Amino acid sequence: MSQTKKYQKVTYLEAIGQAIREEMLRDEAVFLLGEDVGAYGGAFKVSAGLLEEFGAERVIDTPMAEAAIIGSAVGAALMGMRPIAEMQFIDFITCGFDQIINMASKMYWRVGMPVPMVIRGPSGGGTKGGPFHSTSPEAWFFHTPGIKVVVPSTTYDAKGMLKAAVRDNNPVLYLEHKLLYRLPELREELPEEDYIVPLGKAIIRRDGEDMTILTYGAMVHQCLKVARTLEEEDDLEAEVMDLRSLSPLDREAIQESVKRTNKVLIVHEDTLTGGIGAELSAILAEDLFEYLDGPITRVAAPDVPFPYAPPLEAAYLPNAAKILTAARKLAAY
Amino acid sequence: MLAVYDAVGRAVEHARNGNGPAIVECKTFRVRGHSEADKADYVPPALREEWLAKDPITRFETYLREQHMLTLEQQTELEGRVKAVVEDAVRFAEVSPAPDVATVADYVFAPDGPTAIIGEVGANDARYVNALDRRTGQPFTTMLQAESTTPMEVAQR
Repeated sequence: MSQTKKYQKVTYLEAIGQAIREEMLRDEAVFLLGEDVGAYGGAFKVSAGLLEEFGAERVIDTPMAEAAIIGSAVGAALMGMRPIAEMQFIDFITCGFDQIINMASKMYWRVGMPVPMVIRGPSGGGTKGGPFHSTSPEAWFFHTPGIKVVVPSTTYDAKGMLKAAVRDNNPVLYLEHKLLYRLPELREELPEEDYIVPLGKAIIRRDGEDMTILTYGAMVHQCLKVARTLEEEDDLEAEVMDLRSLSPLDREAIQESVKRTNKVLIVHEDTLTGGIGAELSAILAEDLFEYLDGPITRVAAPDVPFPYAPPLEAAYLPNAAKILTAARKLAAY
Repeated sequence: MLAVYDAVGRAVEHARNGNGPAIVECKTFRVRGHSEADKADYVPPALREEWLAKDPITRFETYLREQHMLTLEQQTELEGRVKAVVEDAVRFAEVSPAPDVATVADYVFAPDGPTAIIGEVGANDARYVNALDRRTGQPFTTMLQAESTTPMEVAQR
């Protein structure tokens, strides 16, 4: 056991590819479908090599029709398969909205038949992708009963949560942040053995006692940066909680942390109004009112479509500077 | 191009004559990749060559020339004009200042009342629709044909 083995460090993107491949090897019911996932290997090359390995019946190049991709996946799941439906960019998920809301998410509740399927795709901005290639769509589905929504922020979680999503008996929306795909600092050595990261469990990325920062996705890394600055410049210890599973939400972990820190800063890349932060604020106000020593504070994108011009994109996205300002204001209470 | 025109024409006639709907299947081919990042190297070269040889734009050019409906001179002039419009737009975009970051949350909803055209309040805001007007004073002047049926006040929006 003491023998240490040198594993190759992989990127967040490679971890997703590994999870798909290993799940397909593990279970014949698992297959991948989406636009350009086969011959082209995916727009970001997540599925490179899978067509060659598994063939065209398990790696299916579909027409450009998200309603058909998701609808087919629902049908396949009802017939006992475990489809992974890729949205080339998650923005296009809106074209398949009805299949998700009215079919996938309600099916078990209506007829008692489970719909084990994963819808995954690149979300988020910061890549100068403009209004149709940068969306954070989580709030639409967070609001919808019957579908799980998960947002991994690390390479380890990217693999472990995708595996857990594939094995889950419910529809799971798995949001990959495209900015993290090839980020060198996210490269990690992953365990050689099979592992999952259970859905519904938040994780504390950094301990602290002065405030709790609730966040997820790419913003986890901005918040960690801010926590380091707060420690160095303000002698403050901010706890950074990576929610990573929005639905189901780890209420216990949130409560446990906030009861210790008594202050909450919520950070997300999605727009402010009706976002995840709004629900978190409501939960905190309802459950932990007596524990709060400052206003529940949110940092999010303004209520506007994702802009294309680089200076506007920079102004639009939450970043370390904006989070730091909000954190300092909150700490002063 | 002529085949599509003919087939769609027949389908429309078919429908107008009360014979019900018709489906027109247009067999085509994407000769380039999905984006500039896509080299389309999954397309067999011979297949691409085959379809490039059938390019309806080049074939239509040849047709017009053979029918003496387009001279080389006219074609060169037309292409030059289109190219100038595109290059002008690119130049304009490149020399224009970046948008003011203070406007990041603006323009989500249209305001009440008539929308601004040249000479009105808001017409100079840095937006797509106004950029064209502002650049040319008369949008698409280089392209606009005298017999255009688009009223100028509409074209300028």
